[in-house]
Amino acid sequence: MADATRSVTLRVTGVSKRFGTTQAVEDASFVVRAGELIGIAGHNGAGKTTLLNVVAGQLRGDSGTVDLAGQPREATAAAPAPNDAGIRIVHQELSLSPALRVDETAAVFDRKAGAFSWRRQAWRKLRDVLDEMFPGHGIRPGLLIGDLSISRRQMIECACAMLSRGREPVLLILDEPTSSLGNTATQTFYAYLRKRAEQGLSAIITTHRLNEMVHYLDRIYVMRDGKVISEQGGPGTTKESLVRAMGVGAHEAQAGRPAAGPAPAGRPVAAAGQAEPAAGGGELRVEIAERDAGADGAGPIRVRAGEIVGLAGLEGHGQLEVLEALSHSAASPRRSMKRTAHQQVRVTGSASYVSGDRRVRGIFRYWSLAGNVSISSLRAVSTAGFVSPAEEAGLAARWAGLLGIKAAPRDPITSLSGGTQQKALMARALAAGGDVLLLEDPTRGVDQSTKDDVYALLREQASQGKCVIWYSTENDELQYCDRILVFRGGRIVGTLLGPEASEDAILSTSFAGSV
Amino acid sequence: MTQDTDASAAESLDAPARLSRAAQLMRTPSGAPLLGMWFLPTVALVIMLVAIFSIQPTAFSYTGLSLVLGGSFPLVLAALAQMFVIAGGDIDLGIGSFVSLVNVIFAVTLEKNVLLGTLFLIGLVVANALIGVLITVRRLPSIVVTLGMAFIWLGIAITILPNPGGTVPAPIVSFVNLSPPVIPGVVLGIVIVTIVTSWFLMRTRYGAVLRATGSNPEAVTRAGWSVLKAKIVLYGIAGIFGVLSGMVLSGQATSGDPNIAQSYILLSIAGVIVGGGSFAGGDVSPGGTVAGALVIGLMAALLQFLNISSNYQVGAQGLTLVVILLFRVGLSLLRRGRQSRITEARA
Repeated sequence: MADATRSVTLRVTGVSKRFGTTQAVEDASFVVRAGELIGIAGHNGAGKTTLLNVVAGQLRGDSGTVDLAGQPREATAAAPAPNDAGIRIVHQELSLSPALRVDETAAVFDRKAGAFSWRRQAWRKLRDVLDEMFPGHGIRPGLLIGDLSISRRQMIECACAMLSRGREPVLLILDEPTSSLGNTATQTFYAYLRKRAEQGLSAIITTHRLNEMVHYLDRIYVMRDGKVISEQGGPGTTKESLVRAMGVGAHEAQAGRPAAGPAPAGRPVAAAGQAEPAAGGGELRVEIAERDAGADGAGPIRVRAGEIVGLAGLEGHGQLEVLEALSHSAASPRRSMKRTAHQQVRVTGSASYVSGDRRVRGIFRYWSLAGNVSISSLRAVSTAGFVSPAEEAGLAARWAGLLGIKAAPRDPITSLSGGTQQKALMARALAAGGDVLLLEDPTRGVDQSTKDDVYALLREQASQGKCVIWYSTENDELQYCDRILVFRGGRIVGTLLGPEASEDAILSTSFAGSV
Repeated sequence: MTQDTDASAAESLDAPARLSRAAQLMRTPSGAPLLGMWFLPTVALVIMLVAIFSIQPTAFSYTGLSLVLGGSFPLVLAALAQMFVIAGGDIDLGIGSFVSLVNVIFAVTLEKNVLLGTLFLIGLVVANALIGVLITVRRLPSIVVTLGMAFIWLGIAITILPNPGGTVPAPIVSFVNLSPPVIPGVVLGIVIVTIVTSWFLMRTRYGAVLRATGSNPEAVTRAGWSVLKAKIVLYGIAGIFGVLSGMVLSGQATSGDPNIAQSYILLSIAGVIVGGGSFAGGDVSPGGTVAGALVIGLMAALLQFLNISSNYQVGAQGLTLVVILLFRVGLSLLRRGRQSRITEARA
């Protein structure tokens, strides 16, 4: 696809940017041709976002030139608003106004909608994009953004970028556009991009989902330590080759299941499709039963200490409900049975919850790392009701060390990168020492090396007798689980064992039970 | 068209389960809540009016309505001023002193020199808009800035008029107490401000931008709108409604008092919140705010009619507000199904 004859949409030459003592971007150059979808890969802190901000003109570079559609400008000079230049940006952090309706949101982005019946006009345009980008999205114009799930908000954000804003877009910059999207939505999204690319639109995409890059993009530039170090593309590119180029660490370049390793041998493993491994494992921690089972004799799913159980399936099909119900059950004084639409669940023991939407539901923005880590275990660091700052810092430092968080306990949480913040949330849950860890998509928008740390950590926690219930939107990480429950339409339609949980297996299971 | 899309979506594999029946009944086909946040305060207002009319049938007359509602009209306007500030994600603790100062200007300055008084009032609106600039540009907490401004407004008012007195010009008094045929002027005024503010804030695109400013300023910037301009508009409109509130209050009181509207600081905030709004920013309802302010204003009258000892009146007032807010929690739970995030996944 790297067709050298096509005209160049964007040519970036020698861009550098320094923040204080950190050289964020150093002499970066790359080219995007008309109709090309390119990726920029690199682990957190490699300089991707800074480089893209300079390209979009939202940040002034220290040197270099940016040539967009034949109009060169110095990277150090002030740039026109991205919209006017024909650049559309979808930012990594979700940026919609929760108080607005969907159609109002569309109208805020789409300057062209008329003065009257503007909501309907704007919604029609947004709906056309949504229908094409995410068929079956189920988004209605009157819903409040704040009432929508992260994935639906991300869909709207992606679709809004395509709305007319006075000027047709020539270049899309997408920073982790699919981090909250399920599998099908991701596929249709790239299909849409490809279609628009054939009409001449170009796009730059950064994502930590390397498989996506390899599958859907024409070329990939790899960044490390602020430099564009290589260009990959074509048939030879694999996830592993990208990982090697990114230099994240040799350990994850091994194919298959690295650091965390397969489910420990010796664990009783049931035949495929059977609901649970033979009894005799650890203590019973979690029970999940279909409420209207009975008839076909399927007993409740029992999860014991030391197990990692994944919740899979298409997004929004009941996984989160189960996770929340488990959390409620653990919090209720009698550890009572809690019900979702289709299941009833019970937790024996205490539980801690790691939220995926760290900005909204996770971190305390104005607190330090120590405050954020210790909040769930204040009893352990206080005497007679007074929190000891030293013990608090000690607790934070201990967990920061275990999780590889490179920050002092008193650093403000917002000074850490997104992936590190996610680690801090893990540290909070682990420090609280619950018997059951409930994870809501903990690796959302996190780089590969952090992910591997998390996987290894989970396995270690499980081997220490914790029980882990893990909801993930990324099917390929579910192979680190012992068992995977596949959801469809609120029901558990299948159980897979870790080793057999390929992407295909999960997808086919989640569709198999369909009516 | 919309329905077609939704129906096919519901059939497709990706479409998650639907809303619960109860939650579905609460929504229009477009997914918008059937009963907006104006619903509860309006119900409370109707109950209150029915109670007043049944105890005191004479209240249901041209003069009766003018008297019962008239006393609450300045508060309605002050609550709308507050609502625009809260819509922008801020809070205005200066509104009470602001309205009082307007009253003093009407009773003293405008009485002596019409031009000077008018310029003074325009200056106040501009000053309020500039406060919006200060808060936005310097990223100051609005609660502190407006509290500081409250003392400045009060200081100016006391300098002009140290003790209650002065005379509001006759034309203002007669304009405020205008008696059109059939429908009392107060009712007309309340209906007009409700329609105008609802239309502007809820049904124009710039209204949506204004609400978005309070909800997520960054999103507004990224969509290519100016947050600063939006804040100027919001605080400017708040200033205009503050002046209107002061004018109506002056017309009713016919004289000046630098402390006349001190209670509006908290009552206006209560009006917005009882009216379905929240401090989250961007989450307000003009219709609800008007109803909420009227509920608060009428409460005193109703309790009086009910012969409740004045010792208990304030407590009864507070209790009623809490009950309304409790109903609101119930209604929003019903509307959203069980939990917002969970339901949304099915919506």
